[in-house]
Amino acid sequence: MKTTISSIIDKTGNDRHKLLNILHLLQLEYGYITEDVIEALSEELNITKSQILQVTSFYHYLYDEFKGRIVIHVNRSIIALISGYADIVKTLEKECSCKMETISEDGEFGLWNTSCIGMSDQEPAILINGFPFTDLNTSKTKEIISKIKNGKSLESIFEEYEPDKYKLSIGEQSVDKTKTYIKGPLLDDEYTPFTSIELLQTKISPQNILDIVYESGLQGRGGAGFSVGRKWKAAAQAKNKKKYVICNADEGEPGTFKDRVLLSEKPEVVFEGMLISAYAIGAHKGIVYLRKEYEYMKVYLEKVLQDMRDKEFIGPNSIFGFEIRIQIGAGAYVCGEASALLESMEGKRGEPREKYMQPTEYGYLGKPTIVNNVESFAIVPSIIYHGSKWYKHYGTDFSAGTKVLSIAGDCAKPGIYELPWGISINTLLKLTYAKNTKAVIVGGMSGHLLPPEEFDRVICYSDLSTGGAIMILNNERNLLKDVVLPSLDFFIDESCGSCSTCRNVPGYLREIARDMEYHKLSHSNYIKIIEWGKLLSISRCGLGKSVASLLIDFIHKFTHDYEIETLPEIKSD
Amino acid sequence: MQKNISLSINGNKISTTKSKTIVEAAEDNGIYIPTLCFLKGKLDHSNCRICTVKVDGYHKPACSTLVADNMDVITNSDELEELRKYIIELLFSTGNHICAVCQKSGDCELQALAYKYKLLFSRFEHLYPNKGIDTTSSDKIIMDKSRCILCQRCIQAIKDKDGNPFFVLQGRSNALEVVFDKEMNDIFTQEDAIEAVKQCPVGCILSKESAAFETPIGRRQFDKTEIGNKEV
Repeated sequence: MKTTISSIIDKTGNDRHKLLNILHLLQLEYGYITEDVIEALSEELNITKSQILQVTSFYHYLYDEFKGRIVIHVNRSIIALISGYADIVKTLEKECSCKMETISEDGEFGLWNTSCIGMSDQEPAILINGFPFTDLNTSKTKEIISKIKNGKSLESIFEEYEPDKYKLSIGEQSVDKTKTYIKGPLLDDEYTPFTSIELLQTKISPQNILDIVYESGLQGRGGAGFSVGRKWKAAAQAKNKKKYVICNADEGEPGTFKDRVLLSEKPEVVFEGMLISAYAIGAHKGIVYLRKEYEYMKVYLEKVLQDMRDKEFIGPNSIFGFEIRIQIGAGAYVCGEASALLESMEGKRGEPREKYMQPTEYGYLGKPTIVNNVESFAIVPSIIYHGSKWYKHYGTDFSAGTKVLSIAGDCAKPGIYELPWGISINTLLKLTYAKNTKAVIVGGMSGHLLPPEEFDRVICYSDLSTGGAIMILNNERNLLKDVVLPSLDFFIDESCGSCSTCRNVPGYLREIARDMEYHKLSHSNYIKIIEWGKLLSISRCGLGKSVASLLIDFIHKFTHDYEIETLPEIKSD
Repeated sequence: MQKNISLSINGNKISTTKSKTIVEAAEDNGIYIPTLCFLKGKLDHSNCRICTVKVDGYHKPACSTLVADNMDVITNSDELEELRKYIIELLFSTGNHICAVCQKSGDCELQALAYKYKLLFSRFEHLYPNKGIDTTSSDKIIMDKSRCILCQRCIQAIKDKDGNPFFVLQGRSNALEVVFDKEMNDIFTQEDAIEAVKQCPVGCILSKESAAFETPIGRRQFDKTEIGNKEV
């Protein structure tokens, strides 16, 4: 074991900040992080065992116990639940001879729930040792498991059943199962990748880039909507010479899958966007933080990066000496928050930092850093090429450009829609051929639950601001059971536990919500939901703040769906 | 040091120095903001959220927000006091804080805040967790885990000469725990242990050496004065 660990550390570097990478490799070797592994690693890195456990116990995909030789993660998102999750579970439990959250007697299979693997348009979906299998039904599931039992290699089964995901390779037309129904300036193929890089070398200064991006009105596409130009300007002004550019590909918001599609179809422009930002702020290192659930894409993305190195756009021989590497996450929704992502990249627990520290000043390893979403980087090359006015021409006065939406659920055409900001929910429902729609969730678990009366509201920063997850639910759905309770389960599972509020309140809310399934909502419980929602809003990060949002929308906007205790009428004297 | 920052707290103009937190600037001016997890000089953790104030209309933790020119801070609105009361109730209900059987009674900051906020009952159901008592990891302290409020002061405050903490986190979400790193036991001194007991705002970390009855209950710090108030 010692020699294995030493050789792994030789590869990654004997550096605490590389802990996630070291642990990933060790898990690959031993199946899980055993006590012996921790003991040996602690000697090698000269840190205590508890300090390693502190990190491993934070992440879903770092196992502290044996999880089965074939580890199957069954997606349990809202869309999975309404698309046949229960049938798949039944089949898997029978075929693998074990119940969910357990391991089969022979140790061959382990069945585990997971929150969202970014395949909402292809549910039900599962991950088998990291390989995604989607659009499952009973017979397909049976076949896959029986092939595994017959000793066929997982990779060849993956190739057979998921050719679109397996065949991601340079130059080939994407055959991704995900349908892109509407394309805009980002997804249409008008822009030829790397055209803007040529401009950098000749015509455009870093200051020009900062000005163009600022004037374009581009706002962060991960959901928060901070001005990209302003962030870059702040980082450009930071004094420290060592700076970092980080692409947030930790797409964890349930219902979202647009970053997966962008990375599998347009990785060149994402990386080009990173390069342009690096040139603008003066950074030499770029890192893509790719969520663990998307690790199957890494091989392909590395090829794209190698191609860029060969063309001397990046790498030691390139004109700006800019290099990009891929960091794999370890399964934590909260790491989508920029500062938690930085902590995670430093090999620590992914807890959000306090807000007085801005990443542009004090980011990765304490150096000035910009963290932007995949989609934000992807549009930058086109903006530089066409200019800010061109971009502003899309969208509304206060929300410039287009938004790539991931639409899933009860509609005939789930998939990707790139639309200008300012589109109403009604229009989306028409475009996707949704019928008998009862509710639409905009922005995933931390978003809004909208009733038909509000379908004239529009997707834009001043009304429904979103990272792009849209989930449609029809009249057959039980919103309490299918949406509200899973949302609370989700937040209870994903809280980092730092804030007293977010660590404790969601459990109490879930008790009240569970009770609503069988009893009238008492007036005192109604008050509790509202008050505790306020209490959650003083949590440190967006996760804690938004725990109660779907529940509160539900009790306010879907009053026909549950019973509330009526108060005795009070007559004035 | 030069007082170069001017801000308003509860409508009163005050001057203070840059690099102070709102909690410190308020304290200098006789305004008490309750805290549990706050440690002077450490900004990067504000876990209990009890110091939440309104800064220019937004909720912010006063213990990790630095003062800035022309800031408008409200520390004592009905809304804020209600949120604080909720947090105290929440911490009481999610742990076992039964003062009558606790050595820390009278020196406990959570208890003192409960008195200050006139807590008579909790609006959260009591969970009575059974997280166990760790008596073996250290030869100098015991930890009653069901009393830990996860403020993390022990983690931040007590470190060895290389900056390694003696206490570490384990798990996450509602299973989060602070544990004593038993590999560090050999270098954990009696002074460190005393400091750990002192830093713990509740009755979680207790000394094995002393039964903590040097000062009888009834004559302890918060028995004599309300928390946040100067000697009466």
